[in-house]
Amino acid sequence: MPEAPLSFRPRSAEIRKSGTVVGLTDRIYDVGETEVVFDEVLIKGDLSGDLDYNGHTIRVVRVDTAVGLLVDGRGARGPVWKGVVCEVIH
Amino acid sequence: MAPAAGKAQQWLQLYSENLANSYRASALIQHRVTKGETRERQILDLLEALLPKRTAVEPDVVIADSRDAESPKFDAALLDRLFWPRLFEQNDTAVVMIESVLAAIEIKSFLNAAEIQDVFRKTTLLRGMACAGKGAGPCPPLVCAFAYTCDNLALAFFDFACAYALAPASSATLICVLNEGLLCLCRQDGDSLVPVDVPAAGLIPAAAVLGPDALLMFVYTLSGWASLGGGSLDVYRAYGRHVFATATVVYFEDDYLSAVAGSATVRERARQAYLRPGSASLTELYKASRRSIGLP
Repeated sequence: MPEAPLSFRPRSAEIRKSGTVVGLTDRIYDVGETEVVFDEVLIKGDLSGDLDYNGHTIRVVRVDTAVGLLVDGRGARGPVWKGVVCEVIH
Repeated sequence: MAPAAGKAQQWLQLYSENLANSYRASALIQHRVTKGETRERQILDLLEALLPKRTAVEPDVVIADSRDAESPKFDAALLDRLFWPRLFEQNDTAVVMIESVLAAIEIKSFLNAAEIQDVFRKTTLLRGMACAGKGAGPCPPLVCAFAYTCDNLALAFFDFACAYALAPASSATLICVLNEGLLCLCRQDGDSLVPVDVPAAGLIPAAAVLGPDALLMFVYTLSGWASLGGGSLDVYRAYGRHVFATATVVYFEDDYLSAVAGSATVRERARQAYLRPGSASLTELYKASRRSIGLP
């Protein structure tokens, strides 16, 4: 019998802090039990401390690369963090 | 290991225990009407205490539309009292505009096929009434039900899903079974299902087996309706995060739902598998039901 997680709002690419969008992931990620790794996050604000990502509380623990202005096939954007490792609090 | 329950979760679990105890205590009353009214008051008082005050949970309201039609009697209605006038009030009876009603609420001592049919029959009549303009919430209003007991949630889910499949737009949005779970309508969103308030074709009837957290999810959903789209739900989820982060639903596959909706004979044959569940899980019963109607 099919079983699925119950989601209480449409999942989005938004990372929020105290209700304010502080980052946008390059796609919507499934959050693991202990860790989620975003390939790319477009920085919109302060990503320190506890963050909300689709109902999960996460905390950034490591960033592989920080880019001021990224220009590639998807256009120019920035600042961008790549390889963002986050601890899942709950 | 499941995370420890937060305070909000524990309080709602304790409310659930209290309601279950009150239900057992009221079972000693022999007068059926008094017993029913007592049980209605127990849950309605709790909802009145917990839901946002902009709205009111009121028993004995008559819902009328601009064409002078009246709805069947619901046990209570969730009303916007801040901006909507009443049409009539005398003693404890009020007549209200359908547009001022956010949801009609039915209270059941025991959930079975007959009670589910009763909820859907009333929903069909309510949702067939006219709306003269934009309402406080969705118009025609939503319908939900609260049941104190259900000795076969799998069968109740089957009956709920069939009732939805037969008349999607006239479906109740939500049925809460105390200390068991919720029967609800959802839409697919990636790998998840998202609860949907307004019944419509193309949704997925689903069952969330939540045990003692069913009441929390019920109060959460009604709070969303009562807050009229405010942002309080995002905050509420933070208080009940252990429930909201782990809640899952089960649902029937499309081929099965189409088959049981398309033929009364097939539906009755499929239903037989749920009648004596014993210790079988919902998934096992579903598999047996699929086999009984020739589906793999």
